[in-house]
Amino acid sequence: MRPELLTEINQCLGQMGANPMVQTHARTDKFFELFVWSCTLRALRNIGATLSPRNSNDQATFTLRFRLGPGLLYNPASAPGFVVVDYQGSKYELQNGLRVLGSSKVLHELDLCILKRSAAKRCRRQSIDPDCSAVKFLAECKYYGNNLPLHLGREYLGLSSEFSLRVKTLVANRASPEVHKLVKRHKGTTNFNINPNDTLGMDQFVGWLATELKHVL
Amino acid sequence: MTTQNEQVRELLKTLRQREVGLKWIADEITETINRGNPVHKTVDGDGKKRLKATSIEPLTDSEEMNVALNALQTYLCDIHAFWERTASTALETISQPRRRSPERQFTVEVSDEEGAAIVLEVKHTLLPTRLSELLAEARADEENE
Repeated sequence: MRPELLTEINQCLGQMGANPMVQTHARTDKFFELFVWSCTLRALRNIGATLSPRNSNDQATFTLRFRLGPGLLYNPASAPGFVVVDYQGSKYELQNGLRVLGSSKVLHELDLCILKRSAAKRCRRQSIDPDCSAVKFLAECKYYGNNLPLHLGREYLGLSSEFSLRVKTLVANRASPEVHKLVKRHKGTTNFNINPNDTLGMDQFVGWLATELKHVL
Repeated sequence: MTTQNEQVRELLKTLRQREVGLKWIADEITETINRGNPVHKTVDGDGKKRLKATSIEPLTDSEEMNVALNALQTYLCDIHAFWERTASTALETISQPRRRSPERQFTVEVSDEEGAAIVLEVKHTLLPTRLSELLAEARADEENE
């Protein structure tokens, strides 16, 4: 690289840290989670679902607000906004960054999940956490600068074993043959290299989601 | 003339400066470089048997530079395209509540740990475009070397 180019890149970097979107890895991960959330919205619309925005108090809203930290469904101070999904007479909630009990009764943060609406409403009423029986779909989302490290595959397998569902997946903007091999060996699903500049890849991912969600909703 | 390896170190040094505040990206680049490349090979086993094995090889200088450029592009430039697509898809797919006043617009926001909305100033939306151009030039330089 030409030295003057390196100097210019360094100068540019010097000004970029103030961008609130990129101050931590957790923040870039959050924006990727929301991108996968938007792919799920497309899939749900494609199968004919109606989608309505709700705030953390479960009221209709003009501002869907998501939070950087994990939320508790029954606590409006931490619960994120969500979308009510109305599909063929049944209602669900598409949630982001929510704490849900796994089969061991330990709380896990799910990057993206679809809950049965009736179970979610009951949890809000009784101030309790939803458990794995309320979950119809989950996605773990990872945003990385290069190939995914193997430990992400191990973590996903741990989470996945807590939720026995048909539709659960590890989604990432990058790929890793090793992580794919590991997850596939344990009958898991990966969706890698998902990014908005790859229209074909995105359409395939949305198509996969639509087919799978049709089976479980 | 500085070597590729020295240039990567210089980028990492900039990211780690307190006033730049992007140490986490430098740490991840370092971790990726230290992880090396897994290489699959077939080796002699006991007797006539050939065995499948793996080993880890260090990255070349050029691969190290690619790791750094990819991380900068992904975290500091591409993330904006993800967010733009998210916001536009939300507008297209979600049914908006009935409006009492016509100027009310449906929006999607992310709030920080203190509950304040993360708002992007104009300069933060322009810098990624400039950086992306510079990184493209850097990649072209790397290919020509």
